[in-house]
Amino acid sequence: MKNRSIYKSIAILSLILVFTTCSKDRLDITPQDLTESDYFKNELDFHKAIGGVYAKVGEFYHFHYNNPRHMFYLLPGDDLTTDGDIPFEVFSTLEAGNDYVSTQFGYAYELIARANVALEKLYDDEFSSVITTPNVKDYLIGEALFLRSYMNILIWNYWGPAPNVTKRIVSQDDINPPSSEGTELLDQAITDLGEAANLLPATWADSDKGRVTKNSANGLLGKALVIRGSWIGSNSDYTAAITAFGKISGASLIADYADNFSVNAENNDESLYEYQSSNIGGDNIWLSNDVFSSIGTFSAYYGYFTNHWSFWAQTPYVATQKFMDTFEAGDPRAAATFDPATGFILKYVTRDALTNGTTSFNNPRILRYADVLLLWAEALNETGDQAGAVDKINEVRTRARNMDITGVPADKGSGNQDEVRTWIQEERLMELGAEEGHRWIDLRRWHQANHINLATWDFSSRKADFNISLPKNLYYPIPSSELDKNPEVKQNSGY
Amino acid sequence: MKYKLLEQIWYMTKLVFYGTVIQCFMLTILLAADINAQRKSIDEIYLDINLNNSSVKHAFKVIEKETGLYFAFSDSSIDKGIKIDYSSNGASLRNVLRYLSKNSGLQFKRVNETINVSKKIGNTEAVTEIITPQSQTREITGKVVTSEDDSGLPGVNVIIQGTSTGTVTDVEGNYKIDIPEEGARLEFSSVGYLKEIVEVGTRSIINISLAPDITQLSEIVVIGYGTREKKDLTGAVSFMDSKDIEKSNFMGADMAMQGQMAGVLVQTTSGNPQDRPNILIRGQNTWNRTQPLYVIDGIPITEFGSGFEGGGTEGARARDIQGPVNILTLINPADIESISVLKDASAAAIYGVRAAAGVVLITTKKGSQGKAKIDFNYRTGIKNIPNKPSLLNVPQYTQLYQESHLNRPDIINQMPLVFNPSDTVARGPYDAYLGGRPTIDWQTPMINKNARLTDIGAKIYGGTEGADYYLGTGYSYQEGPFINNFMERYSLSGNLNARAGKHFEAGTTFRLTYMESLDQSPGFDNARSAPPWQPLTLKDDYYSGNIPDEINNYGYATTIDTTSSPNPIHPNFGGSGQSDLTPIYNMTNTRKYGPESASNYLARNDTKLYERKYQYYRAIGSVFAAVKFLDGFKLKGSYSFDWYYQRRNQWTSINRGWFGETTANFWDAGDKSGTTKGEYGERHIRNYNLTGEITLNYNKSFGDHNLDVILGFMDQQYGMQMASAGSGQIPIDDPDRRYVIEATSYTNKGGTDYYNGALQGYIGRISYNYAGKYYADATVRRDGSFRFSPDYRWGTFPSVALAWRMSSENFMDGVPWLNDLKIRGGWGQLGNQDTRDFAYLSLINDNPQYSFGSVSGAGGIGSVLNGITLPDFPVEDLSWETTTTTNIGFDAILLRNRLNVTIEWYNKLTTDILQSAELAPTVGNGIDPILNLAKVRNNGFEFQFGWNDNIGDVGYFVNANFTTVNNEVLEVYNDQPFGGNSGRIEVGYPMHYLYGYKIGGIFQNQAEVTAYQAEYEDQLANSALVSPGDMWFQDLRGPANDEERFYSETPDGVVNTNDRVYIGNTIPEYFYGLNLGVSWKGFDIAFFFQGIGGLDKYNWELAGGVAMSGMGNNQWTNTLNRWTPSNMNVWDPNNKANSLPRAVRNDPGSNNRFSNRFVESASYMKLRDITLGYTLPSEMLTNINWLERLRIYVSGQNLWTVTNWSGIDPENNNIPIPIVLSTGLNVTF
Repeated sequence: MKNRSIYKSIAILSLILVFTTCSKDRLDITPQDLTESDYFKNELDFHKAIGGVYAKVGEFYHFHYNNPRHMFYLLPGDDLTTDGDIPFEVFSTLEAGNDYVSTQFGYAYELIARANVALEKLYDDEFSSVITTPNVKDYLIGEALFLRSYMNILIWNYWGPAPNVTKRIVSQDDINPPSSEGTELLDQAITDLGEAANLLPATWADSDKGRVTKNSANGLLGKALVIRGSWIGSNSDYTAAITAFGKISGASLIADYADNFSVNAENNDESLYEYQSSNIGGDNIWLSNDVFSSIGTFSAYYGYFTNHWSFWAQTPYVATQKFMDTFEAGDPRAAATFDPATGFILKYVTRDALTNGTTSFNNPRILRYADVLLLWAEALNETGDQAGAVDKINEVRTRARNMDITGVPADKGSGNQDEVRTWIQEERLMELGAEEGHRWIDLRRWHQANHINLATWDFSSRKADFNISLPKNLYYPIPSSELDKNPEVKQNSGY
Repeated sequence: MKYKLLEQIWYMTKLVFYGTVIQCFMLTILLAADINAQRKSIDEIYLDINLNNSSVKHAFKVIEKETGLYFAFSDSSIDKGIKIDYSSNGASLRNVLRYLSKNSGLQFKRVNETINVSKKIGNTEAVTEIITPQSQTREITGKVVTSEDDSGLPGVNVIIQGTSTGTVTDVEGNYKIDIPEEGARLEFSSVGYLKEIVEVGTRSIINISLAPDITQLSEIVVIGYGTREKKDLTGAVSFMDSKDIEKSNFMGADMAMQGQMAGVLVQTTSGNPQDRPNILIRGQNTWNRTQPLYVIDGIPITEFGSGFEGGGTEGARARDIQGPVNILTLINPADIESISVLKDASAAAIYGVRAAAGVVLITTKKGSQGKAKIDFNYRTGIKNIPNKPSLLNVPQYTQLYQESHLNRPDIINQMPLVFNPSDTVARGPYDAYLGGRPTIDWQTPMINKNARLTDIGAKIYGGTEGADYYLGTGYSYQEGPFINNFMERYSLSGNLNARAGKHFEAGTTFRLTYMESLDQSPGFDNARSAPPWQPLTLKDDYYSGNIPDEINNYGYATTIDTTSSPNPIHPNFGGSGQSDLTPIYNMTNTRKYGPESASNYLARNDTKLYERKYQYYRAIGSVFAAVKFLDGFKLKGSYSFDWYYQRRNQWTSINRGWFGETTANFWDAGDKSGTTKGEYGERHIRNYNLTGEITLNYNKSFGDHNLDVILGFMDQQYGMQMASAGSGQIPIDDPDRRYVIEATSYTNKGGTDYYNGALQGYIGRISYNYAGKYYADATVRRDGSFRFSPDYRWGTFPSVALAWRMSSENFMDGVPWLNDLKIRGGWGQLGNQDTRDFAYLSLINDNPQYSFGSVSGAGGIGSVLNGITLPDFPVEDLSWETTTTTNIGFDAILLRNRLNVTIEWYNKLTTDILQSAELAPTVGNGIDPILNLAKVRNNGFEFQFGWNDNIGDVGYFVNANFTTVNNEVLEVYNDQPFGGNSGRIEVGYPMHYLYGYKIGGIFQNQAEVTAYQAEYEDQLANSALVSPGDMWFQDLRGPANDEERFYSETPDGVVNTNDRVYIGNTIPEYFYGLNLGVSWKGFDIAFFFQGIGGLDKYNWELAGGVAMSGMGNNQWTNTLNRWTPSNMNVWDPNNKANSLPRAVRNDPGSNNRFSNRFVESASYMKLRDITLGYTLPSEMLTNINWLERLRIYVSGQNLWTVTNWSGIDPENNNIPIPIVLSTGLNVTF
């Protein structure tokens, strides 16, 4: 009997031991990577979160792991063409399954998601109270709003009423954002940019050159207003644009037009916003920036202009005959823009420092003051101030001539509203052609505003099967990757 | 619980030695009857014996001789050390026995002619006596033998039916019994043998042969946390023991299961001995982890990366880190006592969240009470590939590629000059016609003819009353069927169990393994990648080129020639580059034998220019202690570890590039000066797995009510740590002197990584049965897994099972042909937790880089900074997959235990499958979230059938199993099909189906081409270039529309990606195994067939072997039957390998698209094994007392295959499963 009680006690004690020592805490394994709950504990974390948003801009400009995507925005206009069978050139073959439509769409929303995460934390004092340096919280909010607006404008310019995502999506209930209405994306951008313009600093220290400023926000705000103005025929938008442009201070056209494409004159006084292409020793053009630290690419790519081997025998994008013919004889910009014999585009690639022989440090300029001046001119012209408009045009033309004083006279003189429209249209082609896809965005809004008719427009395409269908092709199709998953999204009409 | 099993198994196997004692003991009860005065009492027998320093056993012999009585005893009960000096001087037998008792600690019970000997316990009477009447009797004598080998059976109960009178047979199997004069029947029974009843009649000698009771022999089955008699099973459990495992020729236990168990599919993946077989239990329930959980002696085996098998970058990384070796090969199969496979929830639910794919329980061998024994086994053999693909010789090959270029007039100018006899323009030596060159056989040198196989093992085991032990050691070496492929294993294992008194026991088990492997085996694909004129060895190398002597010294032909030129950027040549970043020379490569010149595999492997060697060390061990208390309680605690270390050494010589198709610039490595000899790296991976467990067991019978309860808790911590280092600047090219110095002026690469996991579980099971008739089991496991967030990590997995053993009912007594009949059914739920780690968390990705501060004069480069992003869409309520299984089975044993049949129906429904769901792009997440949402069902039948009998001396058996699997995907995220051509997942189809185009036929003339193109637009083909001889494909579907979201079932006249359809099933619909055997005297022969049916595979080797569109890699000789204007109508849908289109460069008609053209039935039946063995009969061994058993055998594996597959082997065309011929011997001392 004595033994029994001993065994009984052993048994009971063991059980107690088991249920007390094997704590459930042992299931709390710490992951190797930092988690969200470990983060946003100091000011630097917020800077890095904004940096992650900037980094994503690279998706639109880099080599893209062997599959550069620039055709998406370069080819639809009348400034560039190609011999290749590319839907963005011929329009008729563009369909919702197109891989480029799908990936660009996805990247734009990924960038928005990053901005939304940053904003969520910045707006939440529980986190952002760790930001102690004066004004930095405002700056960072301004940057996030600017970058999100940049994407919203881009999305609107290509897809029209795609979903407007203003908050970080964390719940499965919200994974199907609905299509937006009308110009909702532009409206959102205009609101956000107005706020950003108030928050952002006028300048950054040299070590932070490349971050967006008040001028960046006001420039992009004015641009968004002009786009909306031409789209919905609203004079108040033009007026608001004039106000926004008027707030730009300290920006100026740089002396040498070609320096806008030089690797040695980045982030200059004319540049309001550019992608900060760079490279350290480990730049690996085959790998994504998001996946491999220090060896992922964040350089820019221009091989489609030079027909570089890395373009894998796709046909290069060259100037259209129309583009080349638009330049007045003696306009020095022509020589900086294309090779008249071949039509090869020279912007960026002649004043470059190529790395790996494939990619470039040369920053693609996204918003230049010259662009702003011409938009400003357009806003003035549409609100009846032709003389003011011509002044702005002439400012651009004069700078162009200043690089070569032997050029043709710069002054346009005076003209009526229609004439000035035409001048602006031509000047924008000459000044901004082959950059950034400005041309297609201009054409479609002018078509919408009845300033031009794209149905009869000369696209000067090399493709015999070029065939634009209107109004269908004013928008790209919502990609099937979105439609297949999101029942709340409507396809653009005609696709 | 393991003790019970081992005691039972030991008991069965070594029956010969124990039977006697047990039977005698039983008799003592049986014979508690009247006393008969006719027999002399021990008090009336007087003896005059003299014992002088004699052993107890000798004393018994002397007494037996004097009295005619017989002592029944077991060796172990007698202390051999006791010596007796005694003279009886006419004392009575009782007194003599008393004297012996006093001196030996034994007690004696005389029962008629027998004196039972046992250890004396307490104060019991040392000598007792029972005598029965002897009147009107006559004596029957005879011998009882076993039908296995006709050896005498000791210890058989011989009882006069209807009475309690009887006797037992002696060591030789002889018995003597007095029976009543009339009408007696004798009943012969012995544990492990079928009972025989014999009418005595007038006979006075009755010899009889008893057949072993096979079903009884294997009746103890290991189940989760316990063992159970087979007749008492309620769940679906397959079981095999060491006899079956030892028969297999493999380094791992998993292969031993192939074809042996219903419901268990073991797919061989290649002839490479280190490749992992693919094991599926009752189909495939998820696209996540489908491999079962392995539990070795209670230790759950967890391997790093087990959650990633689905694929993707993490999957590839996990596979890379795991290394190629199947970790089960680190357990020597010779140490395995049994394997149980738990197939349904009622059997496996006790393993909870890891059990959805089934559980494989491996129990290793342990010692048992008795004198020490030694087993020795040796096997050696050779492996050979049955045949080779037939490849084109040079003239056939040249002709093919000339034709393929002539069929493309638009690019005829691109025909490589090596095919053009009329091109006589002088160029460099490498642009010359080669069609006149001799054919080089690329296949034979890569084959490792008579690949070796050796397996040696020895073990010693035994035990005393208080402890038992087992020690085993083994060496195994296997080569692959191709060169540069082997696995070598040294293993050591031990088990020790000790008992103190009745209440306490403790034990330990350990196994240590060291393994080394090399896997640089080429495959048949390598041979096909080269033109047949390309030389392998230096003596055939007709373009010597600009090759340094050092390279030629290897003796192999180079593939390329290189020229180098000074690099103008290098400072040595006036450039501005940094000397440690700029290669000093630039290099240009030329392929010497045409555009398809291939890597010289012989040189690249044989010269050791590249070596990737793996070393593995593994230690698995556990300790336990158990205490029994009160009545029926047992508390057991155990702690186990599994430590596994893998080292990978990889060497790449700078010279290797000469034998490859391209080479990096030799001067671009290391210090860029060309002084490095090569690149070397090591990777060290340590895995640990620590499991603590405590269980409380209560086992008791209350009359007919039998109750068994177990409660327990488990805690498991596991993980991986990795460290690697490498350098491209290795100055010494000596295999024994390679290392990476800690720091150099050059960049060394290095990194570390780790991974941790944890699991806790509570278990509970109540098993009840009433009189062996009605059974009820209820199991529940509650598991907590680190993979899920704290609020969602605990899951409960219940199961219930019921069984009715009808044969135990009284009303079944009248059915003599039915020995056992049971109907059982079970329901339960199992989990699968394996998915991406921390998918519930939002992780920080700090990779994205950006730059600020690029100002004028900065060269376009600012300061590079690292940003962060939160790429996840964390799903906090993420949880395990649930597999709900229903199982109905019935087991029957019929016809005097000769026939046993098991039939089962199962249904497994997996819900909440962890699918990596692609969300709409507008959500903007960077990494797809894991959602619990998909659903897959598997159901089918299992049949297991066994027949065992003998005809005279000839014994024979037939065992067969057959399983059907019906797999269907029921739900996926958003109903959206996903997965590529070779593994599509779509609702309404089996998982991983082949997805591609359907071929229509071959255009025989231009009219057919025109007619087709008038009706259809084939977007994959270049219509202008499609010609007679090309294939046409079917228009089966159209684009998505409002009703049909992903594709329309209505054809649209366009052949494009929409027209890809189901073209094959990759999950076998049924599989089977068949074992046949015959034995006669000491000889036995066994045949083992195994097969898979209803399986389709894309024949990649066929697709490559008959592509006829490239720039000149070799092709199969099937291509000789290609379509040509003079060889039309070759199209035969039933003979895909020989229904070939025309040869045409670049395939403008897209004949080679992923279509059913290359999908073939990979069903097969293989004769996996024939073994012929001879066991020395026990008669021959009686005079050799140091030898207990000797068996020799020869075996042949994979001798015969029945299949419709094109190529060498439906299981693997590239590295086929070899034929293995082996011979071996097993000895027990």
